[in-house]
Parts: sequence; structure tokens; C-alpha cells
Amino acid sequence: MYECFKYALLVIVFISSSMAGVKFAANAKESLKINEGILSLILHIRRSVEYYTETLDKVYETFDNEALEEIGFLPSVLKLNNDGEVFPFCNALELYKKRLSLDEDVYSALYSFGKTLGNCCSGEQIDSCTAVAEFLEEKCSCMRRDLPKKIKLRTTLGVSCGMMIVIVLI
Amino acid sequence: MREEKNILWYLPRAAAELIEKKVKHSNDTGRDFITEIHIRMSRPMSLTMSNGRNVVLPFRFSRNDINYAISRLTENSLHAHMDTIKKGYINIQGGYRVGVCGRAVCEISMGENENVISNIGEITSINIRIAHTILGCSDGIYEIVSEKNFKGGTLFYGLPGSGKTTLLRDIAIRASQGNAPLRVAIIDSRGEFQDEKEMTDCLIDIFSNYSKAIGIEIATRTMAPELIVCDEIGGYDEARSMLSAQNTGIPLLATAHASCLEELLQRPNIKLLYEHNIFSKYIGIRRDDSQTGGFSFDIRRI
Repeated sequence: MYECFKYALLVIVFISSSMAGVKFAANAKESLKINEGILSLILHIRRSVEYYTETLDKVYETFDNEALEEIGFLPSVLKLNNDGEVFPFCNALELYKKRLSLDEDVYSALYSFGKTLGNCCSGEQIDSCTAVAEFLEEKCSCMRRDLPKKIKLRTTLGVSCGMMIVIVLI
Repeated sequence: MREEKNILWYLPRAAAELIEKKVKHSNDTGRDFITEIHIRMSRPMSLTMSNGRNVVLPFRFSRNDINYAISRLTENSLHAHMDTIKKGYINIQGGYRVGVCGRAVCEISMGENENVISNIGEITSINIRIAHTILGCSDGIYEIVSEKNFKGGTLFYGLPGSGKTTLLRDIAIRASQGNAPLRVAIIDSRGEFQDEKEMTDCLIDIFSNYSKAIGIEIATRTMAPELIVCDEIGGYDEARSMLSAQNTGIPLLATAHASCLEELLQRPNIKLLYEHNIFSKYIGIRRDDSQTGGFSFDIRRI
């Protein structure tokens, strides 16, 4: 009976560790999706300002992105904007800092961008969109390049840790 | 409470509370209402009442307060309002007109030898003009203006804040509804005649944000109006468009700033219209609570 219980526990430990590895790998994918979502939001803002001189509430309303909507960032920006907050983009970034899980440099670049959003003329707005979009594009291409390695590493690490724990416990 | 309540959303809480108190006091004590809210950076905020009196409020807007108000007034989208800000105003919902001024960045356009405002660096003063639809305010004048189906056209003149736009709005509403409604085109270059609930049964076409010159030309060509209504004329292009519209036989109702007819005719473009008999009546208006409709008129037929 004791032996049966012990082996069952080892199997659970092994599976849990492997699953944790898979989860961390999925997080890397999710993080890339969020960064890409924010990049396409900024490109959408730039286009809307440059060609249509739209107000930001309309800009947010006409933008769709699964990743940003799923975590609630996009609805939050729109709500804060409609509530008349002075820096709705920055406030939403602060609110969703944890869930967005952005790198510190990306977060501070976006925060500075958020301070200019809606508070300058079209020319300056387009320039600030371009600057932050270029920075994010660079970041996303790095993340895309590193993604397969990260997925492999995290999955392997999870499985190996599980195996090691099992061996130690045996 | 009247329309002032909606406008408070755009202002910092402390300022809004002060105005709210004043509105409540006015409603409790008499018929005066607020027509303008003046905001100035580091200087006292003031209200202009319907009787022309200035009421100074103990609140000074800081730079942050002004930025807060501008963010709200522009829906966090300064870029979308830059064109009108350069012309000195912001359009907001409800037909309010918000005048702004500050530190302009000018460019001298080559060959034209004149300054063109390319940007407003910092906005330091805001004037929120509260649009009032006072139905029936044209009671004392409508019959005169509408003689022979408005034939000959009318130019209203008066000092800023004397109620010209309010009167024009009421005349347009009355003319475009009832038993024999007319097709009315409103050239609304500053978004002051937005779709109001009083206009739901009216035969009114609103040319919102069109320049007056272009709006008059398009209205004449495409919408077949029987009456054209246009607020605050005085520019050269507007005068030229009105001269063209005159040849189509469409009567015009318009307003202009001036305290008296002599002063009005000193303006070269108005003088041009006068010399070409564009308007058959010139009506000076001023607020007068003792009269029906709240205005007294100085009528001059040409």
C-alpha cells in the first residue's frame, strides 16, 4: 500500500514539474503576443491620427486584439479615456502592470509614450508613435527570435527537474 | 438646473463645485443664468451672467488645472482639435463653444507677408460659452424678419454675448416647422447648432464645421434651401459667397459683431454687403428683460 502511494506521488511530482515547464514556455508565447498587441495598437493610433485625425475614444473603439482584450487592458484604456482621466493609457498600464508582464524598459517607454498620448499636436503624436513603435518592433523581433529557444529550454528544464526530484526521492 | 450642469464635468472638482454653488444660488434667487465661464491661468476665474455682470470666483487655475480641463475638453485628443484650436476655439458636445488663447507659434508664410499660426504652445485662458436654446425668444421680432417669406434677408448685430446666436437659432427653428415650414440651411462653422432636441421636427440641414464661404456655396448649389442661416459673418470670402447667393434669390439671415449700425458699416466686408443690398433689414439687438422674449431691437430697413 505504502509503495503504491509512493509511486503515485512520484508520478504526480514528475507531471507537475513538467507542466510547470510547459506553462513557463506558454508564458513566453503570451508575453510575445501582448507585446505584439501593444505594437499593433500603437500603429493603429498612428494611422488614425495621421490619416483620420480621430479622437482617441474612436481609436480605441475601432481596435481589436485578442490578447489585450483577454487581459482587460483594452477595455480599461477605453473606459478610463471615456471617464475623462488625464492619462488613461498610463493609468491602464499601472493597473495591468502585473498581467501585462512587460520588461521594465518596455514599460517605461510605453509609460512615457502614454504621457504624450492625446496631449500634443498630430505631428508630435505621430513622431512619438513612430519612436515607441520602432522600439517595440525591435523588442518583438528579439522575442520572436528567442522564443523557440525559450520554449525548448523551459520545457526541458521542467521535465529534467521533475526527473531529478523523482530520482532523489527514490 | 440648466445646461451649466453638463459643462462642470470638464472642470476640476474644486472649480466645478464653486460654479455649482453659484448656479444653485441663481436658480433660487432669480432668472439670471450663467452665459460664460472664464478661466485664466493664475488669475481669478469669472462667470458672465445673462444680465452682463461679471462674477469673480475665488479660484485660480494652475497649469495642471488648465491641462486637466483641456484634456477633458479635447477628449484626450488634442491632435483632433488642433485645427480649431489654432483658430481660437474647441467644439464640444452640446453645441458649447469654448474659446481658447495662449502662446501662439507663428510662421511667416513666404510671399504672403503675413503671420500664420502653426501651433499653440500653451493654452492659458479658456472661455466656455454656454449655448442656450430659449424657445420663443424671437417673439418680438419674428413677424418682422419673416415678412414675405424672409425676402431681402436680415443681418442682426450686437455686442458679443448679446444673444445673437440664441435668437438666430430660435428663428431657424420657427421658420422650419409648423404649418408652412421652410427648408432651412444652417451654416455652422463652429459647431454651435448641433442636433438639438428642439430641431427634431424641423426641416433643417446643418452644415457643421464647413467654412461659411464654402457652406453657403454648397448649400445654394446642392440643398435647395429656402432660407440660409449663418452666424458671425465678416470675412472677405463670406461676403463674396453671400453676393453669389444673393443672385439665386435665397434669403439670408446672419449675425455680426457691432454695437451700432455705424460701427457695423465701418467693417469693409459688411459695407460691401450693404452696398449690394444683400440685406433689407439691419436689426440691432441687446438683452432687455423688460421686453417679450428678453431682447430689445433697433430695426433699420434699407
